[in-house]
Formats: sequence, structure tokens, C-alpha cells
Amino acid sequence: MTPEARKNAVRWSVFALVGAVITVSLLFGGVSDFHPTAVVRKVYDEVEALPDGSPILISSDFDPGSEAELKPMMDAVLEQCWRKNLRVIVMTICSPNSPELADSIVRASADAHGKVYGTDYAVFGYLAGGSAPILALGQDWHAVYKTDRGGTPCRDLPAMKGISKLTDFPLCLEISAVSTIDYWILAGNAKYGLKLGLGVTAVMATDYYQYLATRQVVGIIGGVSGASQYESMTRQDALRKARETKEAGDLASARMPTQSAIHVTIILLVVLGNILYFAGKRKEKASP
Amino acid sequence: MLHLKRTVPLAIAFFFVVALILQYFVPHPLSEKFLGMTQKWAIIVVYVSLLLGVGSLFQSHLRKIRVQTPGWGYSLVTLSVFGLTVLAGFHSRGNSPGGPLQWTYEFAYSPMSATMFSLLGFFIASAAFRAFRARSVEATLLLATAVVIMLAQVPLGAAIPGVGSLSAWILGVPLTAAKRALMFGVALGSIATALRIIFGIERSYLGGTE
Repeated sequence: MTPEARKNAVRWSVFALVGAVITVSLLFGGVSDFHPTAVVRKVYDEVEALPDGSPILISSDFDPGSEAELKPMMDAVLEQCWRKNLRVIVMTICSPNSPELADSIVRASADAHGKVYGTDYAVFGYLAGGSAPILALGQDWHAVYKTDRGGTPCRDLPAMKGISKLTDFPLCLEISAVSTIDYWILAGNAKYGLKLGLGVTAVMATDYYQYLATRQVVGIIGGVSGASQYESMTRQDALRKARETKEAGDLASARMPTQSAIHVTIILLVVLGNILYFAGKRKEKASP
Repeated sequence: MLHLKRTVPLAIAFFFVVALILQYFVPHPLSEKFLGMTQKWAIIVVYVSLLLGVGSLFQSHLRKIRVQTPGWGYSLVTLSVFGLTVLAGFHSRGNSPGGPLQWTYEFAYSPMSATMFSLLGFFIASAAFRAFRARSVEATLLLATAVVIMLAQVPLGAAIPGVGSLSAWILGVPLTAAKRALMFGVALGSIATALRIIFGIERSYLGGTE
């Protein structure tokens, strides 16, 4: 076997192993129970501390590529918002592909809780320009967003009552898969003092821990594991039902067994790779 | 012509950068009004640049199709799908539910995008197996840290005594310290670049070879 063929064989063996582990764990995984860490709990506590009926801003900055990680997170947060009768305002600065997804997630969740569009929640469209629209919203919301995504004038939406600028929101949750978080921290928090909570993909979470110590960010929900932890606080009924009926739907906690299995597989692969590497080196040294 | 190409853009850049820096420290209504105006301009410029992007996309792919460079078929697919999506958008008048645009989004864009992203898992596993080696003390430390963080991310690992608290310490102390140092470095670099732009030393944004 040529070195190139051996390399390909190894690569395809790893792909096959990963595929098999994912398939088996999806079929037989069940629903995990993941207790919340302090960093995730802080976001929950901030939302919980809002008076009933308060407005909350959610910047939904992700597209279908990150839906698997961030949709369960958004669902878990929305569950808490509906329970507290918060007025949920959703916007996006990520990409023109984001509002469609945000709209469908919020509408599905709101319909399931009997919430009414315009009164209990509203969805606004995409704003380009990075930090510029955030700075502009901080001065005058209505000058930037004259209408919601469907064309209803902003002032005709009861959900927008009392909101004329960004700082009228006591809390903003940035649920993101891209670097729009930096804009929210620099423009929203540093310039206007907007209170920020983050929901990010697992790979991005470590990029924002330094903002916890400076209190520029109240907490971080990271990836599927963060979403699963949030679910354990806000979606107990759904989790109980999923365990009983074995139908998990979109719950992050149902994805955790797969994540556990694949993390352990990768760790074992790294260990095996190192064993083979050191065995090869020893063999090399031993040969004259 | 040289004035229009070089001196005028440099003067505009100098004026607006200095004015916006000063504005940050002047909480006067006039200063806030100026900020609001420039933000609107910035948003308009970004939307115009999106149009430029579309123009550039067409120019580049049409050239490939005309010359029939290798893989020109992909360019044809790109432009056809672009055209169809735009037509679907006009037909749906933006975002009417159940229309062809929503169908395209739900049944074409969404699954394709998710598939592309999910392939990452396979490549990461393969790369970790082939490249993550304890070749030195630093590499061993990196490897051990990665294992602890990965374990702490899942209930199975978090159940191991000490893993959760060790992971929290790694994220809260060494990671935060290293990220801060990096950010200070990047910030100083950004200030230096900004100063070069303000004083006209850095001119690459004007295009050309200067």
C-alpha cells in the first residue's frame, strides 16, 4: 500500500467510525440531564430578574449552518420569556439569511404558547453595517427600524410600547454564530451600557470569557451543552415528556448523548494517534 | 486627476476619523446629531457595497462562463440559482409565508447549509487523530487542556470529580489572561494602523499600487 493510499484509508476509517458513533448514539442515546454551570445560570437569573411584561431584545445572528446548536438555545430562552410574559423583540445584524430563520423559530415557539404577534413579540429585519446600526439604534430605534419585517409601522406594535432607543431594553440577548458579538459589546455595551447576555456556538464560547470578569457580559450559553443546561431550568416539562415518550424533537438535551459519544471518540482517537506516533518513533530509533 | 484620486479621499478620511474620535468625547446634542448622521451614511454605504458585491459576482462568473475556464459549469449554476432566488423573492414580495422564497430557504438553502457545517465534525475528528501529537511540553499542555475542556462540555465528563471545576478554572483564569493580552496587542495594532490612515501613510485602501 502506498503512503497516500494508507493516509486515505486512515482518513476514511475515522470518517466511518465517527459516522457509526453518531448513528448509534442518535438511535439509542435518550435524553441527558445536564446541571447548569454558573456561567449559564447567570443568563437565566438576569432574565428571571426582569419584571413581568418587560421588553427583551434578542439579536438572532445565525443562519441554518448553526441552527442545530443555536435553535434549541433560543427555544429554551423563549420558553422563559413567555412564562414571564416578556415582550420579545427580535432583530438581526448577521446576514440577510437570518431573519427568515429567526422569524420561524419565534413564531413556532410563540404559537405553542398562545402568544400574539405584535402584542407579545415582534420580528425586525436585517440591518447591515456591523456596529453602525447598533449605534444608530442607541440614538433612535424608530429612525432605523420604521417598520417590522412584515411592514407594520413600528409605532403600531404594542410590543414596542415605551421603546424609543436601545437602552429602553433592560436586557439584550445576543444569540450568535459570528463575530457580531464584538459589535454588540463595543457599540451596545461600551457606548450605551446595554446589559448583554450571550448565546454562542461552542467553538466561540471561549472567545468571550474575558468579558465576564469585566461584567460587560452577564453570562454565556455555549453550544448544545449550554442549551441543554438552559433547558434543564426552563423546559422541564418538555424534558419529562421526551423521556417518557422517547420523542425528543428539537431538544438540546437529546443531542447531548451524541455529543458525549463523539467527544469521547475524539479523545480516544487522539490517544490512539499518540500511541501510534510514539511507537513509530521508538521503532525508528531502534532501526539502524 | 491625482488630486481627485489621492488628496481628496485622504482629506475625507482624515476629517471623518478625527471628527468621530473627538465626537466620542463630546456629549453635546450637536455632536450626537453628527454621529447619527454619519451612522446613517455608514449604513447606506454598506448597502451600496452589497450592490457592488452583486455586480462583482456577476462580472467574475460571466467571465468564467465566456472563456469557459475549468469548472465554468459551477459559475453557470451560481448565476442561475442567484437569478431564480431573486425571482422567487420578487414573486413572494419579500417574505410572504408559504411562497417560493420561503420554500427555497426551507428546502434548499437550510439543509445544504446545515450539511456543509455538519461535515466539520468529521474533518475535526480526522485532523485531531492525525495531527494532535504530544511532540513537546507545550503541545502536551495544549492536548491535556483540550481533553479537560472537551470532557467538561458533556455530562459524561462533567460527572468525573474535578473536571468541571478544572475546566472552569482554565476558562476563567489562564484563558482570560491570554485573551486579554491578545486583545491588548490587537488594540495597539489597530491604533497604529488607524494613525497611519489618519496621517495618510497607509494608502492601500485607496486601491492601486501606492
